[in-house]
Amino acid sequence: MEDEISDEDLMMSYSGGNADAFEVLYQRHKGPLYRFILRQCGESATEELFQDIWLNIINARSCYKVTASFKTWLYHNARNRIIDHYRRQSVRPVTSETVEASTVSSNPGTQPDRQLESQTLHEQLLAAIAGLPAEQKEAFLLREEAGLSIEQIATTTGTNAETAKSRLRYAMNKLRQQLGDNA
Amino acid sequence: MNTENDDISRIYQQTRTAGPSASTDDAILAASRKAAAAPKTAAGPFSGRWPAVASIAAVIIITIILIPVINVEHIQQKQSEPAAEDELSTSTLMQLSEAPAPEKKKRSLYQAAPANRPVLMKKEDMFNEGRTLTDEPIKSEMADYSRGREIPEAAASAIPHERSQKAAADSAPFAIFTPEMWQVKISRLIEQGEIEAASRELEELKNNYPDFDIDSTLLEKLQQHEQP
Repeated sequence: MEDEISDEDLMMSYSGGNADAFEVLYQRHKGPLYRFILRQCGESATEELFQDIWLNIINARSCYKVTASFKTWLYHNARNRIIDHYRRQSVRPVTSETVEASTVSSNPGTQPDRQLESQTLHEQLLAAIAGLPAEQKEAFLLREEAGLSIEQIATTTGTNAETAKSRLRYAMNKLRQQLGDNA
Repeated sequence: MNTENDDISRIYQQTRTAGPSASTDDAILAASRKAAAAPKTAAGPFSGRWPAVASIAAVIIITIILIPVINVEHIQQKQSEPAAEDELSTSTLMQLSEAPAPEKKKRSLYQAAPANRPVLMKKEDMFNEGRTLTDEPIKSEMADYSRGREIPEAAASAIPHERSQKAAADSAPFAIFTPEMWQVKISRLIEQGEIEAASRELEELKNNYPDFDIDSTLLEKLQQHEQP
């Protein structure tokens, strides 16, 4: 039932004072948003940025317009917050920290060799993602984590659809090259 | 190509396990409930931009207030400029002109002036104009005053306010005599029967204000009296 209600309706309901609506929204988007930040800023800064972004959403609930897609609005806020973080740090995101120690979902039925192979592949992919240029990484994450379309990626990043499309294409090409025959 | 991209996406989806900690979840949800429970302040059309709107309104109000003040000051400044020239009121000079014309006209300093510009005369000459043996107390008193002597108390109390003001103004060596005042003086001389004096005054008026349009009624009056 909760999945049938759109993000926009939930946000409008929350701006009207319904705290439960926000909880549904939060549970839907907390994971993708967390990883979106994690892949770009590293583990040390992710928790703080994550909380800041959601607090901004809470404080700006009265400014939310029905015409704007909630996901676009959420990731636009997140992107701005990440840019502010970069400016304060005066460095680009640290790529080595984005590689997680274990990314393999537990599956008792998987053979140990295959599990190890899968883990290696995942690590390789995450390492390859960490090595992407910032704009391409951002486009990839908006596509794979947030599930945004090309047009929504363009709106979120302040570019046009062609630019968003080419960034995503370059990102995929590089990842394929990095993974090689293992993909 | 799309298949390869799909493979990458598939592999990536398997890595999506990281998430916020439970404490982070609790903190954010608590903040959201607190915000939802807080009284909602009405967000007007200028909320968030009210400082800019207030600044613009203040500038407009100050401008509206200041413009009239500046205009009033400008007008007052303009009005105060000719005040130094108009020390004597018309009525004061008319009262002075009531005295009969002197039999002997002293030399007076007349300056050729443009039309309607007041002529500066020496105070003594102006007072001597129309003087007879029967001087009015005011004249002699004022003459005494001009010579630095005090006016006797009784006489001073009899002096109307305008004349006393005139006495103060006469401390200056010259008094201002406009052509209009001159006409009044000539008219009074005619009424008093002082036709010769009136004629002389008329000639002086014409010499000093050649462009001044003398009242035709006055000219007719004088002509009637001059004709035998």
